Amino acid sequence: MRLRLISLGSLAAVAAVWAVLTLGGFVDKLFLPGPQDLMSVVTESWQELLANLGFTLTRQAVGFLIGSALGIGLGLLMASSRVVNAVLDPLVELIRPIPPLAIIPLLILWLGIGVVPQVLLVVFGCFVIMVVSTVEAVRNVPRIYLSAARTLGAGSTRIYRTIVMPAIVPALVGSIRVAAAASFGLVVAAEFMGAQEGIGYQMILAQRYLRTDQIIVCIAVITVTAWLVDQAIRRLERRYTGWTERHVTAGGASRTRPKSAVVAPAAAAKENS
Amino acid sequence: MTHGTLRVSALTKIFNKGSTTVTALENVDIDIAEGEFVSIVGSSGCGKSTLLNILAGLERQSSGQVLVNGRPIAGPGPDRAMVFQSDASFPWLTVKDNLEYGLKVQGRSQAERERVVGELLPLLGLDQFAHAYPRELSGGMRKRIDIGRAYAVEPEILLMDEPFGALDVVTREHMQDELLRTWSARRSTVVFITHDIDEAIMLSDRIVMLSPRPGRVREVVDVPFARPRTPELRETADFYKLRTDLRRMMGEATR
Ligand SMILES: Nc1ncnc2c1ncn2[C@@H]1O[C@H](COP(=O)(O)OP(=O)(O)OP(=O)(O)O)[C@@H](O)[C@H]1O
Ligand SMILES: [Mg+2]
Repeated sequence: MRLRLISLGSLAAVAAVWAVLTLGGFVDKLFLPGPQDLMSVVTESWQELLANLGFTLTRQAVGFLIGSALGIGLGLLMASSRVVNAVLDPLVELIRPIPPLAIIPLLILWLGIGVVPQVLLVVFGCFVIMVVSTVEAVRNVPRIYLSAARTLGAGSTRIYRTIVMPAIVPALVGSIRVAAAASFGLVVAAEFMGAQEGIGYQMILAQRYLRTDQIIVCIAVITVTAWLVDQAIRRLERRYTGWTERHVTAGGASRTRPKSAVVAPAAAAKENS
Repeated sequence: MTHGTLRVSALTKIFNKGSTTVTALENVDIDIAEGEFVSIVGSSGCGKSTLLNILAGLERQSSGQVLVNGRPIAGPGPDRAMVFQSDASFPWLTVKDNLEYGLKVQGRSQAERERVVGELLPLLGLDQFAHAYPRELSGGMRKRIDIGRAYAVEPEILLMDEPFGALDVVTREHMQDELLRTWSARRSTVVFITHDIDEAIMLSDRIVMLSPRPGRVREVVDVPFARPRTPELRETADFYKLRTDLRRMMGEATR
């Protein structure tokens, strides 16, 4: 509780400094606009902001979905077959270390400036994140689950469907959150390159007209959107991976431990003697 | 017809890890008859789990022969269900779905699965927890899921690796009783690993004692007591003597 107050205080202090600096006229509005400037941007141009956000979100969503689906699909394929893995693993290793932003000039050279290269940048970034983490997640499935399923008669297809797939979900959801967060950065960067609409485009325009206030509002809009998307994914995660240990300790877990389950703690010391 | 016979001859298992090699089992011979209950005891690290893994078909021997019903092992199968030493319940499935897993693999009807699970839950003391996830249960309760999952497929051979080690005394004795009941009703073969000599005596027809690394068969002891065995057996002089003998052999084996 006290720590919480301290945290709030630190936020409030920064806000206060900001208000004093700007409202008191100590800094140029061009350099740092005040709260009222930002408010007026919002009230004057919220329609434009929303429209641009729509464009940006569409690119982001399409790129993120295609990239993640490709990444997960290919990752599962690689993890299920040694031959496929032998073919694809070196290629993935080759592109994995490439910073996605570094391929922008190449994309423009190949595909010009337009929606396609913009979406492709997001696809690329999400694909790399998801393919690597999917392969990793499949490798990390505890062997004992596979052994147990085999002794119960399950064949490899069934094991893949009933053991591997559910077991990797928590790890995948974590990576999906990473990919989603990355996709917002990538889509804005992509829109800096000659987009005709979108939040990134609006920011470039604002920069050209020295509208610091608009830039800051754009940053806020994209940040809040990214945060909301992250929250939504976390919701889904809690809904579908309620079985993991993680949520027990995470506090405010959706499922509570039945009271009677607390008996028989003798189990704790069951390691081999 | 022989169902559930096991014949292990000249079995050796060597683990290679880089330049170091560990001989886990050396020249092990064990014959297990249909419907027999055999316990395997031996100090920690003597190769008990390794032996069970080989019987389950999860691991291959380095040399020697393992025959199940007269045929070499081709791989794991539900005729040899296994209760693992460590926690193996599937955390993404509820208790009920865990118990049903092997039955679904076999394509049993829902009605039949319900019936089997309905019988197992009270036997395991888990009837309150059919829809709970393993993480909501204690370690001992999770262990019982593993046990139930193996019982559910009614294997010819039941392989159990220290299944009751995680349980408190009362639950353990209850589980021992239930194991004996299921075993005598089904006449399945049981290979049972334990560190607990009393448990081995109470449950088994025979006790195989392995020596420390490398694991060799050091002693095979017949347990002469008639069945059904009651808790009072523990108070008898014969029981006491057998237990003392086994303890002494264990001690010598460790040296
Ligand atoms: N996969 C493996 N790779 C290398 N060595 C192994 C492997 N599995 C087991 N061993 C070795 O084989 C020996 C026997 O191991 P095992 O697990 O069979 O012992 P155990 O009798 O079951 O012991 P405990 O009573 O502690 O469970 C040990 O020395 C162990 O280090
Ligand atoms: Mg062991």
